[in-house]
Amino acid sequence: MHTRREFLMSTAAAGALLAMPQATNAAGDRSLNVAIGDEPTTIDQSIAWTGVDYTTAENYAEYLIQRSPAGELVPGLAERWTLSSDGKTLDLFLRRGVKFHSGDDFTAQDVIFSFERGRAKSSTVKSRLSSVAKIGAVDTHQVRVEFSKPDVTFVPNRCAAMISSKSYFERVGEAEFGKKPSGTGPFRFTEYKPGEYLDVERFDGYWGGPVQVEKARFSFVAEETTRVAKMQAGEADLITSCPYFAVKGFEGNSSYNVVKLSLYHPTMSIVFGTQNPKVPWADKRVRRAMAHAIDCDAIIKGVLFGIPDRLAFLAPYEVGYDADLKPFAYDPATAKKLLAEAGYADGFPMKLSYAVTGRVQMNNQVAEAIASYFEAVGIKTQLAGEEWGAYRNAYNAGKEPGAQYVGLFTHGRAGAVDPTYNFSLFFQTGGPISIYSNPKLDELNARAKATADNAERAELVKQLVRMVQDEVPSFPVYNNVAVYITSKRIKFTPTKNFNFDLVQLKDVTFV
Amino acid sequence: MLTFTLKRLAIGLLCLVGVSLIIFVAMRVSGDPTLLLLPDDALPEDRHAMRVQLGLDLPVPVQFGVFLENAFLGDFGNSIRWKMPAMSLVLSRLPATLQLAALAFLIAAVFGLLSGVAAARLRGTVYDSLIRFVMTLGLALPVFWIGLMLIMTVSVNMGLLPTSGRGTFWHMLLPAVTMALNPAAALSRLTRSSMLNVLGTDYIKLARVKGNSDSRVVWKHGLRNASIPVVTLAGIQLANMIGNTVVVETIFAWPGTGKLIIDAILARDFPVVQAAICLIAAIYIGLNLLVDLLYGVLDPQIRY
Repeated sequence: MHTRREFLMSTAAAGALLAMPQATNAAGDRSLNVAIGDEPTTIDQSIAWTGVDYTTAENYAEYLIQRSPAGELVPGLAERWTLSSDGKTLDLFLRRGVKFHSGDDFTAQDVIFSFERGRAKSSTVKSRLSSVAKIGAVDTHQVRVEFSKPDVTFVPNRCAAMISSKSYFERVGEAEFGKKPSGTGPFRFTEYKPGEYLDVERFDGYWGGPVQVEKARFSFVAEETTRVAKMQAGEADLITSCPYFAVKGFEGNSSYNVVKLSLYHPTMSIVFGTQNPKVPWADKRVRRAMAHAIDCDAIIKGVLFGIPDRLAFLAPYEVGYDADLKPFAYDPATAKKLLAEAGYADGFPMKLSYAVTGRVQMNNQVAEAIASYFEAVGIKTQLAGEEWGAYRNAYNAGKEPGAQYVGLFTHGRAGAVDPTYNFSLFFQTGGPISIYSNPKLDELNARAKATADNAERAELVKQLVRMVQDEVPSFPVYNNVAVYITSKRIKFTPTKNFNFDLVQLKDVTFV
Repeated sequence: MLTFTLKRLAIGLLCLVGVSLIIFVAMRVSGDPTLLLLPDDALPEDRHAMRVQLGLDLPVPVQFGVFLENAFLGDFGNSIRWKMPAMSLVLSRLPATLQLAALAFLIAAVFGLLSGVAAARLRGTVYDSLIRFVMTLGLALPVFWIGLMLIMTVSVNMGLLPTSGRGTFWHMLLPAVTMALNPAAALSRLTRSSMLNVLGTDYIKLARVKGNSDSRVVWKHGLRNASIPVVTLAGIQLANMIGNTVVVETIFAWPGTGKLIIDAILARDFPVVQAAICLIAAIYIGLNLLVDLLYGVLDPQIRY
């Protein structure tokens, strides 16, 4: 509303209750409305650090290496790369003739600039570069990365940072650079309205061949029910993170496509604080009993509409996948027997921590179902639902020696860039999100991380998995599946990139 | 009048300090923000560096002192998540909230007053019961439910209005109606009872005896005298609205301060929460002062 007159005129018009013209899409229109759950915290790809920052940025900016929708690493801005046999030197050969949207040429200097800027301003890039000792340009289109120790996650992380233009930065300065991001991606950034939307349009000078979408708007719609309504009202062509309860309705309607993506991560798990010798679950027989007490398949089918996956540990495509490993079977008799052996034939009281906010679906219902299974084997479970921040704090305090922590937690097992990455994060002593400690696991994981050869590493990962399966510091309930809904006018192939909301517009085609 | 205003302003300022102290302490006892403000795989030394950078390693009273000193100079610090000055971020989202609250208030005031007066005049009839029933419903139904139902019926099933977002006037209508329902109901009920009190008084009888037309008696003599409690409630409702946008803005993807506050609280973005709550408290205090000053205009007997 710009002026009072406009306001008054439209108020008057409101009385007439005119029907709103619907956003109908004429044939041949190649623009797209996408409703996503979260807004990026920055649109400057060079300082992006959290999941939501990448959702939109991956359309206008690129990594050196790309991931295909099938999940394989494929050439991007780097045409090819070679890793030395000791795993300590990586040579990246850059694509020639690539231009940024700002018109600047893409060279080795841009790679070095993006790494340095990311290291200084993005905690994520900094952490991904933590094993890198030196980055240098061999010539204008070759970059050499030297590692202080081998790092099997560097290449799967698509080489740490999205690439920005050094000459553009030097020409326009920090403020403009942050406000009008320029990348090499298939789409050009056009407009950002905080709290509302981000617009992109097709970049015709893209090196990677034709894309069909001409323009797109990403609207930020946090409320999942509203995203569903936007889809139903024809205001959106594609929505991300469709709530599970709404999926059946879309599946039964011929106007929509339901696209499910098995991200596997996070693995919703029951995690134990095991540093306190006084709690019943300090005994691994009790932990094992609890793993056998829950019917995870029934929870997936009955509570979560059959949508999530259930893995024993890793997904079949991952290094170290063990086909012989089976998930814990639902077996209350064994659970009771194990509890009796541990001296808890009559059970014990316990608090179960879980999150009531955040992006994980139906936590309340899942926690209630789990509690009833625990009750059935005699464990008196008190539900403790908390807001996301408090829940993260409760988990973190679970590593204290006096902690009494059992929680339904967004844990990590399958679906990481490399299995060792999740072991470092979630299982290693002092890992950023680990409340577990086992020197044998630490030593084995350190060896696996330093083993560049996939077959050799696979053997070590198998041992790690068996170790966790035996000790049960946590056990999985279900693996995350992301659900997208699209209109029938498009076909969308999602990419498994560890991001709930990721929509790469280049993977959208019109029917 | 001037001394009254100055005194109230001074109390308001104290009140603001109190509000900021509560929010300051509440945010700090709710745990370590670096768990949410840094990626999961951030290095421990980065977490520590961030705590130092945010001043979280200092004792809380010292932190509060620093905050107050800066806040008086208009500096609420930088948003941790959005990396820009917290107050300008909040102010940039304020117009959208004020716009929505203004329309919602207009709807609430018009419907509340009209239906309240109507119910009072039709006291005991089926219309009175009907209005009171609808208004009770308006008070009882939760805002998020009303919002979702309106989206489902008006936008999805009938296709009359957009579901969400900001843009044209039409985008404002559903969130404004959703926000208006509750205060309209409260205003309606209060107007009704207040009018009934006034309409039974001797001076209204006198006004009728003097031969004034019915509508003149009701609207000029009646409503004006019945309006003091109504204005008080309306002022509170308007202030509440600005705070209550949190739910409506989330449901309707409306880019205002309410949505910003929720995001900031969930991300433990202290500076933004503090700036936004201080601003809303200041608006609340300002509106209350305005309401008090309005009494003098409505009732010449009230003097400060």
